[in-house]
Amino acid sequence: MNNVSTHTEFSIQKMVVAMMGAAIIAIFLTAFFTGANAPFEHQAGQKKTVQSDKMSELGPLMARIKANPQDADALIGLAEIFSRSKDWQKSEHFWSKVVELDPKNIGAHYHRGFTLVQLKRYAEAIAEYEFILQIQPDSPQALYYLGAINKHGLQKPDEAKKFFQQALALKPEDRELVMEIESELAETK
Amino acid sequence: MYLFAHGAMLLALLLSVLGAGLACIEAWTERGKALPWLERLNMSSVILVTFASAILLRALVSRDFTLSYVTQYTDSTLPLFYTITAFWAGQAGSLLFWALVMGAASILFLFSNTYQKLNPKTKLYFWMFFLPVQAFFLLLLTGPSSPFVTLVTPPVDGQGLNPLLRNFGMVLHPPLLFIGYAGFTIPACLALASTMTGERRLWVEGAHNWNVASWSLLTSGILLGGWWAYMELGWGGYWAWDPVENASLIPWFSATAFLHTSIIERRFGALPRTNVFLACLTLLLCIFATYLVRSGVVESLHAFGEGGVALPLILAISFGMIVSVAVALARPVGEGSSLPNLDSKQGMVVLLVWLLMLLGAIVLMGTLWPVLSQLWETNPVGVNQGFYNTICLPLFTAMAMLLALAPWLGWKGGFWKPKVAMIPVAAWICVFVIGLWLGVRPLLAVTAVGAAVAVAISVVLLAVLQPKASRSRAFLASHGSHLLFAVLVLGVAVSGPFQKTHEVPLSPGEKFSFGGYVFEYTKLRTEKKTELAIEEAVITVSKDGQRLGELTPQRRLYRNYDHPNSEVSTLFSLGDELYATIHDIEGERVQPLKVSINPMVNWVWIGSLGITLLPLLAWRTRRAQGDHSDE
Repeated sequence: MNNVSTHTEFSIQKMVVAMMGAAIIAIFLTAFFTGANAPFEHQAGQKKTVQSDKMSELGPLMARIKANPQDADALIGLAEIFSRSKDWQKSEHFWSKVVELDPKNIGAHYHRGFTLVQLKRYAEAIAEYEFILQIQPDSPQALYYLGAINKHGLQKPDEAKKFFQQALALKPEDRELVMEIESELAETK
Repeated sequence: MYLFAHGAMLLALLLSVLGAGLACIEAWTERGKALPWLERLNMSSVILVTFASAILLRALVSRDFTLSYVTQYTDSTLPLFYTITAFWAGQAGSLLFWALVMGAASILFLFSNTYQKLNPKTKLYFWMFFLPVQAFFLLLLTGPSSPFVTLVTPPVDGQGLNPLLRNFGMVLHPPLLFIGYAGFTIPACLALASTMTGERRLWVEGAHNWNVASWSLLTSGILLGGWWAYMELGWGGYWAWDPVENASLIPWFSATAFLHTSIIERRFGALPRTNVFLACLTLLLCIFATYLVRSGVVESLHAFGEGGVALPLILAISFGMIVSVAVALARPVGEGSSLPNLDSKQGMVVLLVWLLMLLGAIVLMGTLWPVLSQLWETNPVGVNQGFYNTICLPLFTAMAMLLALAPWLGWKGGFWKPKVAMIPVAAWICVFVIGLWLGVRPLLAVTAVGAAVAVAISVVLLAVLQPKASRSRAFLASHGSHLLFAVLVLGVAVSGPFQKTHEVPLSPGEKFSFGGYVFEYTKLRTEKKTELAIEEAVITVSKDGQRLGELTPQRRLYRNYDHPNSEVSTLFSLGDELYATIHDIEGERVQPLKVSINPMVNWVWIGSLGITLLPLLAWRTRRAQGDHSDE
């Protein structure tokens, strides 16, 4: 140890060793409780686990709504959970509540519109996106959704094309959206 | 078979945990008898990870669709080359690749001269830090991100590799990044271990080659990602400040800072705490990059979404940050550690480090803005390219100016050739005034071109005034890299603001003029392969009546993918590169053809290649270690 200095007196050394020891114990315990059976669950099983985790959040959120029906965060939380689990009826119910509470919540209008599309209630969905365009006339997303409803829902490719072209004309900065619109346009003969 | 592979990784995890635990006990009791055992445990763990990797590779090559990972990223028609590269196409495979490279790095380090010269106590502490990092990756691989998940009812065929990933740039981009990331583990653990035992100086020396190689690989990975975006995404640019692009750039800033501050510690013993901190910060930011890409915390064009690894990654980063700061603060202040004057080369390095840190912080904040803004906004908003370009490009230009001036300053202070040093400054002013006079806009581009010219003149003058030194590897590694950085700056400054784009629908036989070029759509070629159908528009390009060549943009429809994919075509030039894509083809009509004229864009790639390769000349041989005369 000839080129090692004697600066080892700092107690921080022991503290760091203890921290590393604790980290290793944490890794071991996590591996012990979660690691051993991972590869034997096929994908469907894994999805179920994620979904059931989300569902476990339902109880507390419902309790918050009971205590305060105006609790916007809890309403949004519930709407998101039902959207993710593709329970569109319930999702639409909660997005509608959020919109009632805060009519200017553009995000909620987008979500409600999307949910209505899933429920094939196209007229109401169009009304949602038209409402968004009244507030944000330069929203390429709303135009894109209107195009998508016309193309896939109402089978009106010519109408759809107009909306897609209007959306592109706004030169959206979101490249993912641009690519999506371009591929929709490419498929719209 | 996959049971064995998973078992091998579990055993590797157990051995790493055992080794780390043993190292902690030995460090606590201040003994060092278990060192050979730690080395053996690490070696066994790496062998087991290699075994598991070989099994995954075999599953990919044999297209065994009972494995979920193989099903997700390959299909029966995918060429063998892309099938092999599917190893790192998904989250689980890329984490396994990272763990494999990290393990290989530890074996290389174990047999290196640096390791042999370390004090046993430092070796013990090295394993105390390294093995938990390895164990953490194995924890992810045996838990939330296992590549060995099997399907109860395997499909007849797989989903295939995303068409955007079937590109040479994307084949090499991820492994280069991951090798770079993994390589930074050695300097970080060495820094922590040497600081804990008080073994000074040697760690910066020993970490030098690791740092240089990892930096080169990380840089090449980032730049290849840019080249892939340019050649594959078809929007005509190469850097869009996408969160995933930013993710790899953030650790690059700290790695570049460390590359420069370590020179000061090696020469003067200054900035010891900074170096420990920067070495650890770089590794943590590499892990943070994985968090950004894998957690789904920010949306991106090519982020991979939530895979159950977000929480463990963020916990690991937080823990690592606490340990790093604690150890860095424990380090006694170096002998020459007082802040150097700004009119010295040391001062310029410190200024450069602050610039790099500032850039890193800005890019980090910008990337996380959609997440942070959720604290006060119902609808979180991200920052656009304009934000980054407005703030970062002037800072990059300032960095280039530093590179023009710094070589003329002495390490201890003052210009060693004051009159000559003014020549690059005068060149910069000349370029700026001429640009202003000619009405060239934006002025930032003119400033950046001036800075690039100043660096080039500065390096040439240095070579002329120091003919002997200019033939050394160190001169080429440092000043050569700076010169190529200037070439990169020049390419960015010209290709971005002066790009011209035109879109027009065309039928065969039609032509149009744009930017002095004539583009004629001559014919449509079609080709059908097993895995895809190709439609290719042949565009003949001429200028002043002289034929320049053909652009052949394609529209590809891959099996298993509904959306058609556009393939870019370019006509190479060091001046105006012509770039073409097509959105759609109706019958034989191209609907529309998009043509861009990208001036000097290839200077970006030439500069990139240079700054990736030239620093490798700074590789220090055993004989050269300890000799700093050439820096």
